[in-house]
Amino acid sequence: MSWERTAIHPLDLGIVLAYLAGMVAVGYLVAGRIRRFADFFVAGRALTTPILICTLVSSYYGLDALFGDSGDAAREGVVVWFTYGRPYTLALLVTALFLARRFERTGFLTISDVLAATYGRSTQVAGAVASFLYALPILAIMGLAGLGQVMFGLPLWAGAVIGSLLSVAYVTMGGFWADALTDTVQFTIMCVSLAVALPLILDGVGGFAGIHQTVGAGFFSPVGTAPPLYTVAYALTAASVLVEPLFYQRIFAARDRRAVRNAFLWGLLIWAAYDWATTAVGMAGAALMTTGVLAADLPRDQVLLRVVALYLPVGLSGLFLGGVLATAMSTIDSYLLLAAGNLVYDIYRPLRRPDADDATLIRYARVSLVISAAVCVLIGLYFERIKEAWNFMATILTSTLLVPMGVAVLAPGRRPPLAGALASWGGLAAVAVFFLIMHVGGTPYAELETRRLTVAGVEVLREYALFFALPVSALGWVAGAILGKRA
Amino acid sequence: MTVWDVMTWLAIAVLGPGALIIFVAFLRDLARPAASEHPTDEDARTLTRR
Repeated sequence: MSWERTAIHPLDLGIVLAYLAGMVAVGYLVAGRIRRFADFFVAGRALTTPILICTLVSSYYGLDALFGDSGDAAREGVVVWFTYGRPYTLALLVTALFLARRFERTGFLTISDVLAATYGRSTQVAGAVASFLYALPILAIMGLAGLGQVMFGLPLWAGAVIGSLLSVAYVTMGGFWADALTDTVQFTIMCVSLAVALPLILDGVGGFAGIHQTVGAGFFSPVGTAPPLYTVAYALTAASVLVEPLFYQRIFAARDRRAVRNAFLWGLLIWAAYDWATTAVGMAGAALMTTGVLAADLPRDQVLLRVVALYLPVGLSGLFLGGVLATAMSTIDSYLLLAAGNLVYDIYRPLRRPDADDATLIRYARVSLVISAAVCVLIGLYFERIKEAWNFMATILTSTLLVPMGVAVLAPGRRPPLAGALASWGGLAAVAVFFLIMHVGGTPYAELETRRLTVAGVEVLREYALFFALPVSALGWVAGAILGKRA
Repeated sequence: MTVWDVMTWLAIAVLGPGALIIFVAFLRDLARPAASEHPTDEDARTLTRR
């Protein structure tokens, strides 16, 4: 993947640098508030609705939403908003109305705490491993690396390293307090910059009438033209919302259940608006590619940045680049904190140091933040396409956690440890085997930029992993429950 | 005005003024006295040490 460099006005650069300095300053200022691990990881459980809205929206929506969704819209049109996006709204509504109430005042810190209370240590660790792999902010790192190339002409690896270090700096100092406080600024910049850019861009391409005239009616079909199973596979990744570690961390960090429920309901609205804005910009990009204003072979993930460069004046470009940086960094800091929590609180503590005190956990979590950042830079340079990586990570999380967490949420209480272990480790192993087979035996499918394998006359795409892994996980739970009771 | 235009203006309203209103609400919360600690942190430790 290579991103073409765009010239940046000194004023725009100044805005971006001021933003970066502000983020690090916040981390330094709140570092003094951190005394216990609960302060470091869930901000002392004191978050109210407005700050929860900001941290939910800005953390969950990273560059995969900004670059990935606009890139997909440039290829497929409004189907991205309707068919790929709205199943997430449904899953988020369930989260808002049900999960927030279920976990009020339970005292949990992570999703693995829930698994530990239900199944014991083996499932707790499986959940932590899946959560760690999922939480690694590979997508945002990839986008940030591309941004470094566009803005400063940096090699991809250098952009990834510098961007990660900046994101880690303030979270290492101030933990979740620094994360949530910086998220409020990042949320505002990422939303407002998109709101300002959208009418200018649409005006530049002659509005939706101009897009319709250029790219045709097919772009305006809510169900799209991809194979139905491929579309269903993507819609199914919305189930990952129900086991999203970032959401659980914020549920546990809320002052009360009303605060988090209201935050999710407001978030639904903002996520839907953000989705539509990126979809519209992507479609404008498609029109520009069709008319030759942009190169027809421009990589889809770069469409949004190229469109912005065409239509935003100096100053607003700087605001928008600040918004892109904010989008990336709010995701990187939040997920790195989660990954560090998984390593230290969910894996190291129960397996090696059950009696570790708060100071030790905080110290190790800070080291783990840096380790997690290094791991995800290495993995991030391997994947070439943003949606490809998102599908991979969401599949790992969902196949490992959906079944055991579903039981833990719907029917609280102790369950046979073997049921949780077989469901979680079985789901994780099934995904690993599926992706290995697709990697070794599959062939490239250029039109959908994926891999495919024909088995007994049936075409299997890489995106179908959940169709295979979820039944394995469910069977594992049933088998473990039966065998566990006999034992 | 098409349905796509209406969706676009709604999105702009939510992302622009809507986001600013939420940020102002956050600043008002920030100006209030600090929140008390959640009382059940120890419960989680007990649960996960089984």
